[in-house]
Amino acid sequence: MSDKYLDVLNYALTLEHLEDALYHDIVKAGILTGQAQAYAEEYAYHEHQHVVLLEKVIMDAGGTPVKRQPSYNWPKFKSEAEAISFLRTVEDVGVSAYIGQVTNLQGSPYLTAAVQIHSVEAYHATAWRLVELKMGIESESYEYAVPFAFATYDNGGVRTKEQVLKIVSPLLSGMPNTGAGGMAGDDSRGLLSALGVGTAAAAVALATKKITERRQES
Amino acid sequence: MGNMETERRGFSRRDFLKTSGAVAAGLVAVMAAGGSPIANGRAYAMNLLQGASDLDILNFALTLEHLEATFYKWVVSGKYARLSGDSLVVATAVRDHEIAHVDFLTKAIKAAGGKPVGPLSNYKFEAVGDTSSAAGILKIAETLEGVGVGAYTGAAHLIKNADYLFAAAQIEQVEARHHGAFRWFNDINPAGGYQDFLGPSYDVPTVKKQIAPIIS
Repeated sequence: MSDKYLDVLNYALTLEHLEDALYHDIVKAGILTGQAQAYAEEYAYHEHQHVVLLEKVIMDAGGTPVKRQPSYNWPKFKSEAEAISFLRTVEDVGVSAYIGQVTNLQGSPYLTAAVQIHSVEAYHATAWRLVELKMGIESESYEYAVPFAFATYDNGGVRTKEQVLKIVSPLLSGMPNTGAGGMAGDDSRGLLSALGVGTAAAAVALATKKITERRQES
Repeated sequence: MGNMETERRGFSRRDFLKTSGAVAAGLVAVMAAGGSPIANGRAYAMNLLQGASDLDILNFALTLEHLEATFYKWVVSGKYARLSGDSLVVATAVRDHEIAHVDFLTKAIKAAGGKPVGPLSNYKFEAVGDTSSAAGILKIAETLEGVGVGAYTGAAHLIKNADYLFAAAQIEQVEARHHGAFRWFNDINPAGGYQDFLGPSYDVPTVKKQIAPIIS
């Protein structure tokens, strides 16, 4: 198999190890309650399955799976809310990482699985967004649950490997964690901008404006 | 080679425009089929699009997006039972997203020299669920989004042009977020039911058998 595919799969495995460890540690820490804890327990299982799947696929292809780190440098959560928002951020980064590799896997036997895992991470992220709304961690409109019309580099729906590694490296390396914020991306790529389709951010801003207007009318 | 290859199975490009009504009706039938909408949508797309050109696949996606956009337009405009509160906020945002998808795919098809399909004048969403109650509307929306996620997932490996594949994934992620949100409104764990997402079979003959009762 091409080293190119192995590199992508090991990059994905690096992120899945991180997510697997994060859920494991958060579930064990008992910082979450009720529905959030139940979701975390189930999603922990998903992430672990992703790890098992990727390890197998990499070995089947004659590669060497990257190892899970002995420990990760999580932020010190001061509240359940902080843990939930961190889970949401990590999931959104995971989603963006997979779609950033989709064209690198085109023509490989791994494409469909990558697209599927991509959507699993999107479902996780959506769940945490809704939990944030329900618990009042986010006080925005529920549009926050479905934040854009297209995943793009500009809105953080897609990230390059370099962007993702820059975000997660403080978690991996033991460097002080400076937060996993978004990064400006390069949206000059892709068909959307080539065809002059408005950015998703603009679409969301417009939709939010419409909702505000409707609320004022009623 | 192209003609023989495409006419051997699935739709030829020439046929797609004529049959997009049947494809839309097929999507409604898939929605009404019960079981996992993701698995059903994936099976339908994989079966239908075997040997299809990229333009056919784009027109298939546009057929789906027209159906979705029309559904939410009807929901938000009050043709069906009224939603309220947070679910209305989400349905309205989703409507705007689906309209944006329609616009984008229409442009992409035209830019590639193709002829974009239009919407149907009617879709039989009553066959999918109860359009006279808010609960029914939210259930139909959940099913619709699940079929959409499955359809894009099933089509991905058949797309030849990398730009189209990337664009399909840019939309697929959004459909997944929509689906998760409607699952939430229906009191279902947005990411629960793992097997729905990593389905067991991509074997085409098996998929054809699974889908035959749905599309016949």
